[in-house]
Amino acid sequence: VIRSIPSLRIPVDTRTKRPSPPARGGRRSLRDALYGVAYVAPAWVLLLCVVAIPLLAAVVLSVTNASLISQAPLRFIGLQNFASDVFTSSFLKAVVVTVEITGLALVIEMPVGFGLALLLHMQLRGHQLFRSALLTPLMLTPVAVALMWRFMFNSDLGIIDYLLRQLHLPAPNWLADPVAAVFALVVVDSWQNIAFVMLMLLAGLSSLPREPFEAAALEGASGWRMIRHMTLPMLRNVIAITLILRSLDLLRLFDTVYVMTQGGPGYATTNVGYNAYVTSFVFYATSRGAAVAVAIAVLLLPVYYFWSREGRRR
Amino acid sequence: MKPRVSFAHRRAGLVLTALLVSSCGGSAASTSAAAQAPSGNASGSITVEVQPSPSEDAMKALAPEFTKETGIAVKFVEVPYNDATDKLLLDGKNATSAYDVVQFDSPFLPAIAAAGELATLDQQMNASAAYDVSDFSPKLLSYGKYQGVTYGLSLSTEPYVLWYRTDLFQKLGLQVPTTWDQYLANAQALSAAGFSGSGLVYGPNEAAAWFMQMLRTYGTDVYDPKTFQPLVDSPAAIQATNMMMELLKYSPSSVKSAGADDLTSIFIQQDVGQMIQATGYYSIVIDPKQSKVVGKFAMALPPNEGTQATMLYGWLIGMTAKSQNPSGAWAFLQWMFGKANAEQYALAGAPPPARKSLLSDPKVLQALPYIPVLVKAAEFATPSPQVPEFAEITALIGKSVNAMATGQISVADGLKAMSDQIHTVFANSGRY
Repeated sequence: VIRSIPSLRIPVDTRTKRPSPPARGGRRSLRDALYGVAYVAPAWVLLLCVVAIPLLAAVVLSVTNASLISQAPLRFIGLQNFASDVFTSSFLKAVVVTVEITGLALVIEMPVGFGLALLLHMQLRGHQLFRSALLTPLMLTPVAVALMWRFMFNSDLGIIDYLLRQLHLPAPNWLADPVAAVFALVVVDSWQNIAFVMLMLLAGLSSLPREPFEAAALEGASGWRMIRHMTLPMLRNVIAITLILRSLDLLRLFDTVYVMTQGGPGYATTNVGYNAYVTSFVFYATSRGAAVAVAIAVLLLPVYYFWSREGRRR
Repeated sequence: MKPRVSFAHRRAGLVLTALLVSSCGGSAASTSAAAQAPSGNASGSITVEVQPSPSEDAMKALAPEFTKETGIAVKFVEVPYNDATDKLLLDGKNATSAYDVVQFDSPFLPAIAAAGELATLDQQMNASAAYDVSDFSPKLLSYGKYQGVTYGLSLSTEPYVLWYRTDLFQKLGLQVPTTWDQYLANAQALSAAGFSGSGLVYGPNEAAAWFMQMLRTYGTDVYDPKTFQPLVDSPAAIQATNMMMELLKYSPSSVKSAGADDLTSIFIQQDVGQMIQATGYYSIVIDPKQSKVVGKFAMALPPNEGTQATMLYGWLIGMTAKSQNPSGAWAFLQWMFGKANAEQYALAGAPPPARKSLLSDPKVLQALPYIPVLVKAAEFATPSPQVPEFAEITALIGKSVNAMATGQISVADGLKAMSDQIHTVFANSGRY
């Protein structure tokens, strides 16, 4: 149709030749190559300093006997640290706890964040105030949030159990029950991070074209069908990126666990992040902590792979 | 057409590269320079690492007088409690120390001393008439030692003692318990009357200290100090743990996730008839802004089961091995914690070291009426085991006790698992 309308034809000057690629060799190409290297170098140097060197240092440290509380000379001990701290049932348990917390939190954060984004996108009356209120938790530090919730979850003096008792509902000992403690962590993380999911998806919604939705509405499609068959597929990339970002954050969750449960009751909320912290900074076993950190980095590789794949797709 | 890059842009790219390269290299260079820079110059200034505490407040209040008398300027650097040990351990790896004097919690002594951060103090301490070691019980002096060498002076002495509510005891006609059975009977009576009967810590981070308190008063310990074999599943340990878990029935429910600070909050805000807690919390419990039990409590020696024992905690203060001004550092320690300044230091609001001479100081006795109990407890109090592995063992014990308290594992299975874990830690560190 477009081709048949003259005014919409795109003029093409067939006389213009495409620029030929620069000739190989010679003084100019060498100079260009040098400039190219110079432009790329800052990024590489930055990556080297911030990512590659620390990662390499962690790998090297993980196969030594380094410890903050020992003056023994540094020596190579092979995979001993991995045997004592990674290939163990307690590390496996920490991985399971991490996956549990991550899965549960995503199950809450993604749909609720999407629902709130849809509500805000409708620009109902008072949506700006609503948005500001929803964004408040995101601006607080995780430690402050965790402390606040820790007081609220206190089984003797906390407001949550007080309200539950007033309503004659069972009031669990949130931080001393293995199941309730995991749930409490998920609630706190969701409370703080749903706003992030909402913001990401709201940005995605705002970038969607209006015409297909108007056409669908004219065809009589219901709101749910439009969400199911149009909004969600069109937001696929944004949802994937949001999911990956939240997964990465949750898999590395530490501060909330540290403040609220200290990995307890027992080992019920000891995730890999808390496990790495305890090994490095409670046991002062830096090389063992490095082994745990390397293991975590390896475990996170699939998530980074999906991240980079989604990045390319965009 | 191929985009052309202007010369100015190219030059900017090269400059940026150079800047980044120099910043990466430069940071290492500046770290090294900082490590070599003297922290307190030899001409008369010292740097004191302190942690938020009443002890810090007292030192800061009295430091100007020290400077006036000696001419040595004092710079305080406050470090949060949770970061302090890591900072000191890292400081020990540097060529020179950033501090001359360091405050640290007594359970961290083995780690900090083993890292080489601390200077030995025996020679100066024993030779100092101003410090007067004879004013301390020999047991008390031992808690500043690691492998028989003194690395820390007692900054505050905080043994675990029994805290009880005099009003509730009077109301119910209860006696101060001297055995755990009496303590349990009191707990049951208090609970039946609608109060909480007991306060111990069962939270995963700090339960180990209360567990050790129970073990020691039952005449056993975490491990045999000669053979390093675990003792936590011995008959006495099982009996002690069973008592600890029995007392849980009469405790506020939040003790299952509580630490030491939480237990104090529970005691000052709720009706808890008795608890085992360190004496160092006195200033909080008598603060009417925070506490509803001011004038309604007293302290006594902790109950036991045939062995008079208690855990000894408290702050220590020492000199760094790589101090730039060791003579200034010792002058500060000797002046601040010497016998002549003991009264002034205690009245400045700090929980004091248990000097015997404080027992005959009416001003101190009036301000801190628990001093007789403190000095008496300090005579038989002992610190947590002073081996570097104990940080790891403490964490393992805390988790196991918490798992038992929250019903995830039985006492027998929990103690067996704990024993295996302790054995593994000592085996890995080459003790067997």
